[in-house]
Formats: sequence, structure tokens, C-alpha cells
Amino acid sequence: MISVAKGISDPVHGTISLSEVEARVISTRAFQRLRGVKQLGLASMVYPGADYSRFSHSLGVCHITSRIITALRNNSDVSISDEQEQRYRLAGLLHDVGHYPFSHAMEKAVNEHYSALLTQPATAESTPAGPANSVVEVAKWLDHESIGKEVLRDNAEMRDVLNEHGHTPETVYQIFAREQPPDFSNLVSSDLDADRIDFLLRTARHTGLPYGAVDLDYLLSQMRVDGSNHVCLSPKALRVADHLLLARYFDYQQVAFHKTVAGLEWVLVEVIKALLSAGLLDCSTKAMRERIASSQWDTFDDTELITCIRALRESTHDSATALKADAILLRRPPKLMNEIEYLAPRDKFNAGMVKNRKRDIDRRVRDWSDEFGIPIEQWHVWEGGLTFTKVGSNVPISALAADTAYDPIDPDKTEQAVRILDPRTNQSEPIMSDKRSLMSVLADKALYSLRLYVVLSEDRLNERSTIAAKIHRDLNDT
Amino acid sequence: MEGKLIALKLFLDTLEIDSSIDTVADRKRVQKAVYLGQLSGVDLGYRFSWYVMGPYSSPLTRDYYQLSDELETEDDPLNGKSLLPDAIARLTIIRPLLQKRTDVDLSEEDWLELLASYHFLRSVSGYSPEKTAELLRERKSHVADYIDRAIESLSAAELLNMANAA
Repeated sequence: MISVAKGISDPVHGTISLSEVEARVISTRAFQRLRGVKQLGLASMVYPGADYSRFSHSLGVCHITSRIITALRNNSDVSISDEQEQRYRLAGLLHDVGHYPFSHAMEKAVNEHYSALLTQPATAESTPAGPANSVVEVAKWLDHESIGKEVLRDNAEMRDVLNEHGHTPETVYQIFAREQPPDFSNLVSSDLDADRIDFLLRTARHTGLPYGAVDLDYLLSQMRVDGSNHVCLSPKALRVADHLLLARYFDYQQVAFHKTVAGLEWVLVEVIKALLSAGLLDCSTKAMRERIASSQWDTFDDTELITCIRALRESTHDSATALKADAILLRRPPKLMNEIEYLAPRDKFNAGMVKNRKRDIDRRVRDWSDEFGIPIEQWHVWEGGLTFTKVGSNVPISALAADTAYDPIDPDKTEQAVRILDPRTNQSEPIMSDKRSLMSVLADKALYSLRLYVVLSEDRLNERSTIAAKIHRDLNDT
Repeated sequence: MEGKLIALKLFLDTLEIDSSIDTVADRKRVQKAVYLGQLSGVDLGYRFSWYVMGPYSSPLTRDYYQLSDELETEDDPLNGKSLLPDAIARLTIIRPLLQKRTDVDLSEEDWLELLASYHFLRSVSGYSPEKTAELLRERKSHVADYIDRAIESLSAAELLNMANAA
């Protein structure tokens, strides 16, 4: 049992109790920064209440982590010391501390920008291989978990707080980054982990959508550990587990996949790539390490990025970039011109069909660009795939085919599924292998989605329906 | 094709690793080859966590399915691109490590699993040589007979220098 030093009122969980080290961690500048990083990116432009931060989400993950551990202690013959519980709670509290401003959208932009630096046209003049200051070094970038690791290790204030309370940064980040074989194989990073549970409940509370009405108390009361140290649920919780996964599917469909949210996220990625290309932003590993070691990291939040986008808007001479910046700054989202969406089996056939359709639309975009005099940079064919398990905000269509929810011979993937205990053997199986579950029917299905977006200038908004009608005709003539 | 997928394909080609992913063995080969290839200093940005088969990256899983699909249907998937000479040079240096030794009776993917797992447990998990060997014998008995040879190969490639004993 953790000794309580502080209580914080939370709209989702009531009172969240924190230990002394946790109270000090949340007072560090690196953690306070999370108040300025929205969990849901630009979703608040559609759902005004959906502006909660990674700060409150992190508190929620810490809280649920303890509730899970309490359930495991009560329901199974496992020994989890208070010291271990504290480490897991700290890992939950700090798992998002390395997120970029606007989280996944910015990470995607950084990834695409720096990965592209590793290649050149095959006809380019060959330059000799260089040492440490070569482009290969400059092209290095960090994902949010790696940045989190660097913050814990190299931010003096954070490191000192952990050390003063007998913790090392390593023992904390090794849990959230799964850098060691874990005590319980799927306590962190699974369909039923504290991160995903808090995300669902908190998003529902703040968007006003009804999908978070999951019976959390019952779900937690049925959690236990099987004979192979998998965290699992008792068979009695089969329905509530199905409900959780269904709720999450609808939540993603309504929030992350919302037509306006997805369109805004696309332009945000484009604008951040423009910032990186213009040299107005440097997110190389070297630059991020310098930020973390200095106080610059503590203010690197959504507001700072918006300031950068304003600077880009004022300096750019590229009309497409200016329109995309305005889409963010003035809430002028790209317009949806066409959409194809259907639920179908997750297989190569369907993934291939969607890919071929996308290529067809990509080719036609050139014609429409010429016909309507709208530069090609203002068009975008968006593809999304949504599944009932291991739901991501945007899974590539092609990954859906083989990223099957239950492939008994691919243990690294099935380890992340919700598991149901067989009391006779004291072993658990992924929920989709239980024929009584809804997931046994739905887990191999996906919602395939293709959308065509166009960023229109204000003076051309009245042409939207004309352009959409022409596109609809062209696509239905084939 | 997206720049990151072009870089991934060229990276695997330079390492002489088949990028097909039809079977679990294929996917394990690609996962472990990218883990080991990135040790050359050519960083594609994939971060690895410990799962049942050793170091595993979920983003890499998504990317290689997408790559496979693009390679099947694109006319010019690489878009006339090549890796930077510096990247090719670094990958060429590490390439012999990935080739199975003649004195190791394992499949290619199992050999790569052993190399990547040993390196991960030593340098990322921070385990001592003794603890690493013990864990591999306990959880990866199918490769445990060749732990010493993996250590030899990783040492020869100077990849165990940074490993800290726990």
C-alpha cells in the first residue's frame, strides 16, 4: 500500500492519491510541461471539451496502475511488493513525459522528415562517407519513449527527485519502454493496460460521447494472473471485456477518425514538415538532447509549436503552405470531397482492393488539380484502418491484412490481446479464441476508409459542391 | 512510396536481407535484422522493446506490411532513390555479422534472434553476461547452444563494448 502524501480531484476517478515522490515528480518543470500538451491533438476543434492534457491522463494512468495491482494481489497468488508497486506507478505517471507537442502528429512529421534525409536520388553525385558530423548523424531522431528516457536520465531536476527518493531513472523507464523482460508479460502495453483504460474513460468524459460507460469497477475486480504470468480476466468478465473493446472502437471512430479531426491532423503533419524543412524547427536527436539538458524542453509544448506555425505563416511565400497554416491557426479545415468506407475481413484481398482504389484516386487527383486550378499540394488521399483490438489512431490499410488480431503462431502480437482465464488449466487465451465472445467474430474485421481532402482558400469555398459533384461522377463512371 | 519506407527497403537490401514477410520466420528475420542493422549507426528511428521473441518494434511491424504491399503494386517503389554513401558504408561494415556462421546449426532467423536478444539484454536491459545467458537458456532453449558463438560474433563487431553489467 502506497503512503499518501497528496490528493488531487479528478473528473474521471474522483480523488487520485499520490505518494511523496509522485507529488514531487508532478511539480518538476518537465512534468508540468504536460499541462501544455493536449492528449487529443486538434480534436478540440471539433469537440470543444476534448482539450484535456497529458498531465491529467498521466495522473489517471498512475491511479489505474495501482487499482490493477490491487486486483492482482487480491485475486491471484502473486507477490508484488510496495516498492514494485511504486515503480509501476511511477512508470504510469511518467510514460508520456517525452511526447512532442501535439503528440503523434508531430512524431509522424519528425519521422518522415528525418528518415527521408537518409536517401538521395540514385543519380546524385557520390559524396564520400563521413564521420560523426555526417548526414547519417543529422538524420537521427527520437520517438516519444526515447525522449522520455532522456528526460528521466538527463533532466537534472527530474533525475534528482527520483534519486532523492531511492529510485533510478532506469528502473522507471525500463518498465514503460519494456526494456527488460517484464514480471507480468502484458501489464504494460496491451489492450487492457492502464494507459488504454484511462484514455477511453477520459476521452468519453471530455468529448461528451457515451462510449466510456465501461464497468471499470467490475473489470478491475476480475483481473488476475495466470500460471504463465499473463495478466488476464476471469471468464465472468468476458462480456465487459467485449464491451470495452467495442467502446474503444466507437470512440476512435467518432474522435480520431472524425472527418474534420483527421483532416486537421493531416495538415498539421504537413505544416510541421514544412517547419522542419524551412529550418524553423530542429528535432534531430542532437537538438532534442540540447533542449532536454536545458530549460528549453520545459516550454516545448503545443503553444510553442503554434508560435512556430505563426512564424511560418508570416514568412512563407508558398500558397499551399500558407493555406495549411491557416487551417490550423484559423480553424479552416480541409474539405472532404469524397469518402469510401466499409467493414470487411482483415485480409490481403480487401487491403489490396483499398490500395488499388487509392492509387486510382491518386492518379485522378492530377487531372482534378489541373481542371480546377488547385495545386496538387492542396489535395490528399487519406487512408485509415480501424480494428476492434490493438486499435491505433491510423493503422495503414496494408498492415491490417496480416496484423491479425489472433495469430497463435505470432506470440509477440497475441501477447498484447485481452486474455481470458481457463480456471481448469490456470492458463489464459486471447479473447478472440473464446467462441462465446463477440471478438471471436469481430476481431478479424476492419473498417476500411479512403477519403479525399482538399484545402480550399476562402474565396473558393463556394465551389466545394461543384468540385465534389465532378469527383463523384468521375469515380462512379468507372 | 513514403520516404521512410524507401529508406527501410534500401536498408534491408544493403544488408542483403530478404524483405518478404509471408511467415512468422520471415517477420522475425526482418525485425532482428533491423535491430542489428541500426547498431551500425544508421538509425531508421525504430525503437525496440522486449517481447516473447526478443527485441520487437510495433512501428516496424506496421511499416513492413505497408512496404510489402507497396512493393507488390508500385511500378517504381524506390522512386529512383539510393541510400547515402555514408549509410551504405556503415551497413556494409556490419553486414557480415548478420550472415550465419558455418559452425552454427540454426536457421537464419534463429541466429538473428539470438544475436539481437543477447545484445538487447546486455546493452539495453543492462544485464550481466551471466544473467543474460541464464535468461536465454531459460526462455530461448532453441538457440541456447550457440550463446558463446553469438558473444564471439558480437564482440568481433565491437558491439558489446557499451554493454553495462547489472
